[in-house]
Amino acid sequence: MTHLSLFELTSLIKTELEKNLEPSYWVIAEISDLKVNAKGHCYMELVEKEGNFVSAKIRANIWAYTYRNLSGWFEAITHTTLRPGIKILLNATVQYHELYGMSLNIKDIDPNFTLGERARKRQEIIQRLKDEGIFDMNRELPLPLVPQRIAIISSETAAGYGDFMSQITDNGRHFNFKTQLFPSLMQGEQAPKEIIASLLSINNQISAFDLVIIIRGGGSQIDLDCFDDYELTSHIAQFPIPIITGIGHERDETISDLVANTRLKTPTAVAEFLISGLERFNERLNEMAYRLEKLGQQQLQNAQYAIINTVHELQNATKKLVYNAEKEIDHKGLILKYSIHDFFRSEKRKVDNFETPLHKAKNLRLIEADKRLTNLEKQLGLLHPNAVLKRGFTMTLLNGKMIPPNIEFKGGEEIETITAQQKIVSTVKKS
Amino acid sequence: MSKKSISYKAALERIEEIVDIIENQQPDIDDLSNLVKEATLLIKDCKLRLKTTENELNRSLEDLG
Repeated sequence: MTHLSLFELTSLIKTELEKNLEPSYWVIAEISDLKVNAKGHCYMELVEKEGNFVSAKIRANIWAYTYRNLSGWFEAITHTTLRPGIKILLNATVQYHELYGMSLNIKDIDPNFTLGERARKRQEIIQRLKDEGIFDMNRELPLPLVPQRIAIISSETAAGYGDFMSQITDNGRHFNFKTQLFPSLMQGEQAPKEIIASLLSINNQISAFDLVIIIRGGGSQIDLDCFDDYELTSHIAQFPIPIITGIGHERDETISDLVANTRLKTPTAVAEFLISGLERFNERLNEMAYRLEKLGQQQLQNAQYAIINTVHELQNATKKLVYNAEKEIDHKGLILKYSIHDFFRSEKRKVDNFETPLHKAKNLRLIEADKRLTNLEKQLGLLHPNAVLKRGFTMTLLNGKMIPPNIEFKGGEEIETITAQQKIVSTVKKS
Repeated sequence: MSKKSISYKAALERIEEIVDIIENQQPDIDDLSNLVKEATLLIKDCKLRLKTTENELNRSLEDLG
């Protein structure tokens, strides 16, 4: 039986391969492992997966000089490094070494494929978050009016954290912020896990915080893919208090930015945002205080005016009342005067009307009376004792009085006999 | 005095309500003085809290008696 030595067989394989294969192929593969040795050569393991099932696997290498060029170019385009977990479109020559076996020697990588691949993956994750109905959950939370208690997820050593802290502490307005750092790796494969762990521990004391900020220093623009991680973005989206991102990058937002309540470019921007929020509130307080003062003054003045007005009204009303009363009194007085005048005039007229006949009647009566009196006088004159005495008669009186007709004299009574010229006293002797 | 202060939001809403009352409802002078006093206290409280930590605030409130 003819036989080959092992070397002869492997040499045969090598010859056959070189004879039948093209000088190079464009291949799509996922990097499952990657190492760069001290000399700068890059060694990887490439796989093709269907779900978790690996359907193909091969080793590959990029020689140091090529690797330097390719990786730089790749990072510049995709903002991510060549690393396990990403899919690449590569141009490689199949090589077979008698001792080391089959491998690919990579000559070129098309970064646009990875870019498109990542965009597709991102889109898938975004769609998944939307389908699950959680994409907008954190975005729809209202930002607290005055967020002062801040949970910070960052790396203690990150420049961005330092910037943030110095800006927030020395904010020029003496606003107080109470911050607590939850240290986490902010890049690389482990980052999502650590950030999620921090979110969970914040969630355990959720009432102690107004909001969460996820900040990362500027500098490296690469390795942001961890912020596109489904698990992380799902946690951010469903977090019960608002999350603000300041991940420090210029390219398209990561999915973490998209689902966060507020996305800002840098930690410094986050600090400014928080300070300006407090400033706005402070200004609102100032405005209210100003308006209160103005309004208070105005109302007081209005009240004063009202009092002055009332006093004026009262004065005017009183004056008017008094004036009216005076006028009425005057008027009544005048009426009274006229009516008295009228009364007297009419009375006088009445009197006048009576006077003439009365006067006449009076005169008439007087004349009559006078006549009668004259007659009476005459008659009386005739009747008077003197007239009789003159004619020679006498009159006898007893005790100065006429002697009653039926008197009986006892004798001795003294009687007076009166003549026209003299008075004779005599004593009765006998009757 | 209660240690738990009224929330910023509640405070601001009350202050705005008071301004509105004074602006539009012509309160009488007795009420006006009380309303302005209340709003001023709220504003002071908010401003104090903007600038001091909760602990400091509680301490200074305790100092007040």
